[in-house]
Amino acid sequence: MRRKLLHIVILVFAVWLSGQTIANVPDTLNLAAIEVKGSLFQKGQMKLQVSNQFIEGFKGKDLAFLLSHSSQIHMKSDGPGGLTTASFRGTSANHTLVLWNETPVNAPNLGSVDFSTIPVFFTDQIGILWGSNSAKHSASGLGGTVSLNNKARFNSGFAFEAAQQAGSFGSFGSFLSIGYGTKKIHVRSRVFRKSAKNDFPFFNYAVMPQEWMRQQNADFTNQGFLQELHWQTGKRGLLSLISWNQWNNRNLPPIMTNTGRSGQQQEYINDRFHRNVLSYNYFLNRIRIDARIAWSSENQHYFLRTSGGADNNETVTLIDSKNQANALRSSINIEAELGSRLSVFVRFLNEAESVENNNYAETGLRNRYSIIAGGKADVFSWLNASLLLKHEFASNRSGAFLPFFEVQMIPVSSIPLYIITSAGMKLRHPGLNDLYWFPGGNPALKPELSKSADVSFQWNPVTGLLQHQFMFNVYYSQIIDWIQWRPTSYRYWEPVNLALVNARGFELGYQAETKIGSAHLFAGLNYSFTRTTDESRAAQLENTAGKQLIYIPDHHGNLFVRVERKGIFASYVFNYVGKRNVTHASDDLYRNILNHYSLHHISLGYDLTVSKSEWSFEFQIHNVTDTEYQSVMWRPMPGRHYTIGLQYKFR
Amino acid sequence: MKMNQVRILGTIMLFMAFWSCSEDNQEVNPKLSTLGKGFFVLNQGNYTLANSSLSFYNTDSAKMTNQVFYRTNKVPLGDVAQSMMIKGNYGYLVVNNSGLIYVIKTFDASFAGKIEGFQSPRHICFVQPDKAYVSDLQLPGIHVVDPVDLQIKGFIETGKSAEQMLVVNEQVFALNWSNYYTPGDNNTLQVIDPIEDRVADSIILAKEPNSMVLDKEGYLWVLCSGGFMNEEHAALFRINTQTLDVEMRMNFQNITDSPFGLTIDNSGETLYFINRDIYSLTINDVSLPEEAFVMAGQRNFYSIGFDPVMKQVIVSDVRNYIVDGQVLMFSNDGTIIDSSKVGIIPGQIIFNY
Repeated sequence: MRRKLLHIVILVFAVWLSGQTIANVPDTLNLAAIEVKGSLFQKGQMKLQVSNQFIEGFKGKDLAFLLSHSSQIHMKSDGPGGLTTASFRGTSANHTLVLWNETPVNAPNLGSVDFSTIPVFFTDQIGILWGSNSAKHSASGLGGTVSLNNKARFNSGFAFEAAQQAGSFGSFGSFLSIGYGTKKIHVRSRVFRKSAKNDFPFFNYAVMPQEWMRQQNADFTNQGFLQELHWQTGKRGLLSLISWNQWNNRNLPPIMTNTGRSGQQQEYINDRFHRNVLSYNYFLNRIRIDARIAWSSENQHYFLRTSGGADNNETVTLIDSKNQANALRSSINIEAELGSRLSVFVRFLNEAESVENNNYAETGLRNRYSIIAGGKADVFSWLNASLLLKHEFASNRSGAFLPFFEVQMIPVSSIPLYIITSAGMKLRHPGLNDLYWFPGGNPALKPELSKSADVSFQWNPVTGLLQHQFMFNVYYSQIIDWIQWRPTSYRYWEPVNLALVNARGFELGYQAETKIGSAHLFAGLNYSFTRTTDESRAAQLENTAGKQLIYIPDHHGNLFVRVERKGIFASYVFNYVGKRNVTHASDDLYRNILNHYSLHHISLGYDLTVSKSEWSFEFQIHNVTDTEYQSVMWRPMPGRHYTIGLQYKFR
Repeated sequence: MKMNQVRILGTIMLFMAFWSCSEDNQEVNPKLSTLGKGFFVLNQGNYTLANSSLSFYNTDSAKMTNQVFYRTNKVPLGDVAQSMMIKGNYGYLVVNNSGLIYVIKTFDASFAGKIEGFQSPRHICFVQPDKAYVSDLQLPGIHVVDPVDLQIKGFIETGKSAEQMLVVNEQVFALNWSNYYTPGDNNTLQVIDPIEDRVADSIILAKEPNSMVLDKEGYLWVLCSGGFMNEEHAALFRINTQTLDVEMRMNFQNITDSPFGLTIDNSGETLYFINRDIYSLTINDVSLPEEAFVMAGQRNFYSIGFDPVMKQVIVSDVRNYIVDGQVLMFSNDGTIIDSSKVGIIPGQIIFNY
């Protein structure tokens, strides 16, 4: 009954929104009043720029939440504060490259990124890249690339920002930013701390007898600081030093079937990382030189202890696994415009990585080199073409030559429609765990090779008084020698180059922004259809060929709407994730499929500006319909819960 | 134009709200009536994925029914269903990583109770009407439980973790298969006094004793794999249960041999085990067989049992450990009679006649 009432509330809200706005629509609008804060895509590029509306709206959230509610990327999460990985265009977690200020942050041992540990507060620009935009970066982004950037704000003067959040299940978030920008220098410091007890109630229908329980051992604390220094060296140079330091401590809860285990189990992962990048940009007439060096240190500590014995305090299981990964990454990129119709670039990348782990016989070392050269030519006024040639190799391994080709066209000059098509190859080297983990690591693993092609239609019209943007992408990729960890008859798992994976699908994106009287309306809509199957000989023998790979939904979509009028704002977020296979077993066996789910979140708030001070109060209701759902099998997720936030900005 | 677009937006939101109201449409397998006579297949599932399941093969209808625990009880079986033992009309399912034992009625797999509070239970062994032992991979001892009250009553400190247990001549024989979590060598067979609940004796065998059976003469046969990393040659032992002497040891020829799954036919005369292929020998043989009873080929044999009524050798094939397994029935000359699809990692075959 309560659930139905909530649905009615949403319906009423939707009707109110459409009714209100329709009623307020004047016959004419002043286009100049529209403040464009971000765009769905960069005109004629294979890049989706996450709107500032999202970044501002989700500032207190992690990147996983933002991307799952504002893009076509699907996030797989163990729970609030728990491990969250991305699936981009039907690929797996370690096929999504994450760049922070043009530098990869994918862990060298695993190859994946935990998106739950990245605070949106630490980013100024978020881009999603595919096609040639993704290919010209480091290896591993077979699915695509998520790009996070911090931007210098010269002449910004003194800026101060503080925010405090509190919410259900003992969750707190504190955010502080202070910066100063002159004509030559911009300095900014950001600090955050997020924590939650995470003891949300859930109905455990995975044990007999079924009963309501509270989530156990799921508390977490993430805290960190980001320091930026940008210095304009003369008229042509820009020197930047950015340091991102973070400490994440989280306990690991049991899955729903295992809540009755004894042994006073204590299980946690503590990780800390220090990522630093020093970059220098030099502009000389039509030449741009970008040189950067980044060094990172990541330490991860997994601990498991169970106790027993006569006094129940004797250690009977102890796993104390420590992992230290260091990386030194350097790149130099030179771009030049040769005349008005041709630009060329050359880029050299080097990544030196080392990992020390209890489960490695010796330190895992690797050196990777890439040299990339390319150019872009305006063949006609309505057509340009890009060619990118990449040669990449890792220590002790033969290299690979990877071409990438892209054509962009405007078929009708009077219509702002762009058609972009690309095709090419990418390579992902195995993670160091794949190579050196004991037991099971397989030093003979080959890199995964991706061959992909896609077409993107981007339409960016200004229709009357409404600015809106459409995007439709169709893609196909084949990944050869996809690495899978498989159990062996020796009772441990081993990675093998087994699968031949075909991923194909399409993506839809739409954003609209307008002003109706004194009300400002913004809406974004995303949808993706993904079909990812293993067509290898092994899969055919195992009768799994043609079956959707595990944890990749066929359908994923989201909607974001924000209305603001005279300081009062309301937003609504909808997220839909389709059903997912969770095992490779046949469909007729129960619990091989996770059901689809839909989530609704709403927030209400008030912005008050007094002189240079801006105050903002916001009340958020998450999972309004109290939907029971799982992102990962038998990992419970919270029902309806609440957050209040207060933010102060001084500019 | 603008009004239309705002209407479209409102319509989309209405659609979304209705969409979220739709009920999950996953088909749930219908509830079972009675299972009849035949055998259970306990499918371990993958560690931490909680996709264990229970299958039942009805020998009258020659039909395999999967997910019988879920169909009847509407809950998953749990995380790594390690072993099952039938006592009277009840089946005791030991679910290792869930730390519990489910008790079901064997005629329809309906829930009858559970014993909770274990750390990493592996096997249950009934030693008296109101007493059972439960071995634990992560504890240096054996739990004492009351299988009627469904309570843990005590703990026997043995200094080692135990695996399979067997009652012979009012003694309990317990294999010490693993020392991954606990101290002590994993090459022994401990003898437990079930009256006093203490270790009475210990016999040194070879590394990783993994399975044992009793033959018609009262001899105990124990199969040792030789170790996780093939540290020793695998071996088959024959033990006198009265004197506790090792009367015969048969070493496997290759250091890479890793046999497991020792079982015996209903007459107590023929032994079967898996060493990639399936082998058989009689209790009178003094050397290991050189020729396989059934060649594995592309199959990945994982557990084995002998059907005492149908007189068939039942073998499971785990394939690649992550897809559906298979159960195959062989006549006593090694001819395949039937096969059925089961769950993920079929790890034990339990007869219910």
